[in-house]
Amino acid sequence: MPSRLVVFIYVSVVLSVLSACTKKELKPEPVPAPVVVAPVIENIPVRKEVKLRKAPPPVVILVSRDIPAYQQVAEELKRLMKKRATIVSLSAGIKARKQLSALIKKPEYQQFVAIGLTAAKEAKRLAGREDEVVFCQVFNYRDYNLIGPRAKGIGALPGTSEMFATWSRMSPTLKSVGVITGPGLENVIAAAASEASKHGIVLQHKVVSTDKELLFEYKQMAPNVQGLWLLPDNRVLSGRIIKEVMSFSVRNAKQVAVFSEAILRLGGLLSVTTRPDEIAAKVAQRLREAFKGKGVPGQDMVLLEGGNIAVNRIVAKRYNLKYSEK
Amino acid sequence: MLREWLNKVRQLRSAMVRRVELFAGRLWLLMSIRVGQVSERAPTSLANRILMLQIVWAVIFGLLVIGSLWWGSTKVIEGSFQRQGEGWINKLDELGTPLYTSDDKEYFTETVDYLKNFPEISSVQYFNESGTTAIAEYHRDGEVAEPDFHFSEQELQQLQITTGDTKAQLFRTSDSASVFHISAPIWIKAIRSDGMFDFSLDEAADETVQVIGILRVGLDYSRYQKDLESNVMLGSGLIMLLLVMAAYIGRLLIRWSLRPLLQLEEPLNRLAQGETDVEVESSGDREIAQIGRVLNTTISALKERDETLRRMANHDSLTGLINRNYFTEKVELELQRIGREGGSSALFFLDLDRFKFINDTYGHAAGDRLLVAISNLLKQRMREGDLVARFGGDEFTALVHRVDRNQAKEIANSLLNLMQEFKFHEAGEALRIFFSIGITVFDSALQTAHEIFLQADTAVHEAKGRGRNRYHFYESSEDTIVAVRDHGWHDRINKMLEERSLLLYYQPLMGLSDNSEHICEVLLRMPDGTHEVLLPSAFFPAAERFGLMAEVDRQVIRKAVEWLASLSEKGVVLSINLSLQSFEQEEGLEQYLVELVEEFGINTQQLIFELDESVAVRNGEKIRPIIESISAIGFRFAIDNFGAGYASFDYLKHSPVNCLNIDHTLIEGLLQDPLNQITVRAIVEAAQLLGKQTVAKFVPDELTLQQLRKFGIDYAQGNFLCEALPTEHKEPPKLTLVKSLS
Repeated sequence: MPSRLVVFIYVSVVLSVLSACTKKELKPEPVPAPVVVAPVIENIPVRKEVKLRKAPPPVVILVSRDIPAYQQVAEELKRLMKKRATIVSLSAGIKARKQLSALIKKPEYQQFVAIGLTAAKEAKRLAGREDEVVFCQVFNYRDYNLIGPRAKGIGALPGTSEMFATWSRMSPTLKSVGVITGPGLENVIAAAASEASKHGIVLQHKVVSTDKELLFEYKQMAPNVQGLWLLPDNRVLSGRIIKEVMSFSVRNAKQVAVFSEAILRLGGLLSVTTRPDEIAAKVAQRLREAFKGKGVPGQDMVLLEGGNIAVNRIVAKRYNLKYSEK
Repeated sequence: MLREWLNKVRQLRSAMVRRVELFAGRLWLLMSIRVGQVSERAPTSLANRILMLQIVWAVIFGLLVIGSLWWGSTKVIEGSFQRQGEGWINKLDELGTPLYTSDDKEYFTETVDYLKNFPEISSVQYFNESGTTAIAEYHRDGEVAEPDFHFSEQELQQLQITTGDTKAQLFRTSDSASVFHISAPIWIKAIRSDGMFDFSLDEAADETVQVIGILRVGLDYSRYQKDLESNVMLGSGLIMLLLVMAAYIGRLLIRWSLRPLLQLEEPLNRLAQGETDVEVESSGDREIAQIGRVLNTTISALKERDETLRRMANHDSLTGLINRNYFTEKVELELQRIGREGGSSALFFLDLDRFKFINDTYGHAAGDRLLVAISNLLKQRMREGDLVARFGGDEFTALVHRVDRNQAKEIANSLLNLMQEFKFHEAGEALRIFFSIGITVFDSALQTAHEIFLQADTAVHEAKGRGRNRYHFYESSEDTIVAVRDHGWHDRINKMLEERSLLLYYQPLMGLSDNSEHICEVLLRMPDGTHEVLLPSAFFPAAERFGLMAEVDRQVIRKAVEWLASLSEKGVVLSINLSLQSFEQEEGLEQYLVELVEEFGINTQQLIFELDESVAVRNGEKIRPIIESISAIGFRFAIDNFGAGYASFDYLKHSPVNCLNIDHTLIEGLLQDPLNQITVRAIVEAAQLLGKQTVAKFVPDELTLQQLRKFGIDYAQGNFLCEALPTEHKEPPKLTLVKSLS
């Protein structure tokens, strides 16, 4: 009888846990507010009849702005695709629109790469017309409903495996790291938590909706964590809050992994940034897969696996952390 | 028992009341004296004035410092609290975040507990984004929420502004003035969607801003205000104390700086009191030394002037010997010395025996030369330290110190021997001159100088009476009739002056031309104690000898002016005789006349002063400026007894007189002596040429009058025309009577 009772309790607990997990997974993701994006091109030209593709088609690479993070990816893609790639920078204004309009009219241009949110939103419109779009360098893509059968993306966050590995090597005693984000990044966090656990690190995640809340939660969380992983979620970050978070971290000896090398000088321990070549390679891969069939196959987002890691030696020295170039 | 006790209490109370009244009286007296002293407005001290100026500036500066301290401190506190308020806004902005992100209100309880540690926070209110509803609020113990508080539309508009880098902050001061409220919006910010890829700390991030609520904080700085007040009061007290100390030190410094100037005060005071033996320090600071040098120069000039005046006042202008007044002082000093030291001294009274003869025979100039020669002779003969004076006319006196009768006799003999050898050369003749010497030896301080003079005078009269060219010692047993007589004259004249019993008579002058004035000569008489009167010749010598003539003259002038002012007839002119002593008085004749005229309101043209020809000529240099000065204010002068032999026509050219009274010796024998006629005519013609009028006195008869009229005489006078009349006649003798005679 007691053994039955123990089995019953055990089964009940397992079922409860599974039920909770299921509910969490089934929890509807926040529906982003409809965003009206002003068309860059007023009248989308009608495409001519699409012919069967025998060779990889030319690719239009739309670049939102002329910033290094976009341009480096665009240049890497162009290097991979050679003459097939045509880069159009939307920062060129009317000239870019005319150029894009001319390209769209040509039937051989069926694949587009969008770098940055502005380009992704523009490309989404094209994707609705049988063209294939792969976007990259876009955070919070769900807020803009960028995913579709012919539109898929590449993650904007670097891979966390290397980050946690490096961090753990430097700080073997690191056991708990906090991460505070806006809503909708649960899969990213889950993947990261999985990677962290491989190094014995527990990731404590809080979801907030404002920058103030982020700071507040961080201060609440601070006594329970040894470090903070500051994700580049623009919705809950502001310049002042970043500085205050970093200032608080320094004052309280919290190790912080940041998303930009620029923030290292505020007291960040290490920064993890994406590698343009990896992004370009994954984009090219998805375009090749799309060439083989209709639409862009596979997951909505392909996460990055690698990343560039930079360490603030001064902070590392202050925390008595050992760092060696590997 | 009880009654005794009550009586004691009453006595005690009465004594206390008296004491209080006495104290109050003294206090009142003291205050009155103080007020009186202040009202006298004594000259202020330069040091005090500088010190006062310094204090005024210091007080103004102190007040400015205190005011600035107060105002500045208040502003600093306000500014500090505003900045502190801004800090609290930021802090409370963060602390209030959960209020806008969850429904968990318990967290605010922790915030309230936290706020209780800061008593300067009087209230904290979190409003919703529209500012209409407070979603949480905290009020300090004892504080209550403002009823019906709401933001104005304008405030809300300002608080909803999300542009710019800084939030709007509204400051509102409450009625209590030590509490103010700061309101600020609660912002949330987010970096733009694709802004993370080019995130830079150096550039302002492109962010979106949203107002999620409004925070209102009340800060009470009354406690700081009170601390400020007490500190400012303490500081003010210290500043005032420093000012007092600075004033005291300033006073010492000013005194020290002005000490050279203050040191001038003592010599200047001595100088102001007439002391000229003063030496002012002329070293030290440049400015003070300059003042000292100038003062010393001034003092030297004063000394020289004093010396000149003293010499003029004490010496005879003709002979250079000391005069009678100064000699009298010296005699009094000698009497005092004898009183202190004992011993005896002698006074010599020397009278030239033939001086009148010399004067009449060889003229006035020869007489003067004789006087000068005799003076030099006496100065050479007398011992050093002895004094020789010209006592008047041909009289000399000598004070011989520390001699007895025998020594005095030797000196007298030597003087007589000296004169035996002396010859006065004049007009080719060698004239022998002798002295009559009266000597008195005095050894008692109980005597007066006047008595000494009387004794010597008596002795000289005795010497003259015994045949001249001899000396005679005064003997106390020789209080002869002469001495008594002279002494009697002195007393009688003094009594007459004291009683103002001089008698004035008036004798009119007859005008011989059509534009003649109504002139009366004032004639002096002296009551003899019976019903008779004495002529001036009876008492003038004594009056002159005793120096009483000036007083006689002034009394005559005053009585004459009184009578003149009482006359109903206006335009009467009085002619009054003056003696030489009137010109020698220290108190100026001019000032006396001016005051008299102002007192009685008469015209200065109504008075003519007659001066004897001999006096006018002998003392011309001395009296000329006085006559000119008195003439300048309208009085007129006449030379009496003109033509008696002293004056010349050359003298007339420079004489400041207006009228010539021709000597009676020329008038009385006019018809009989052709030389007199020529002389009178010449005098009249010369006078007319010089614009002076002429008066013929002692006209004896009608024929003489007719002759004088022919000569052009302006006025005639004499008993033949009208006798002198006493002032009992309230009006002067009538001209009609006089004219009818013509």
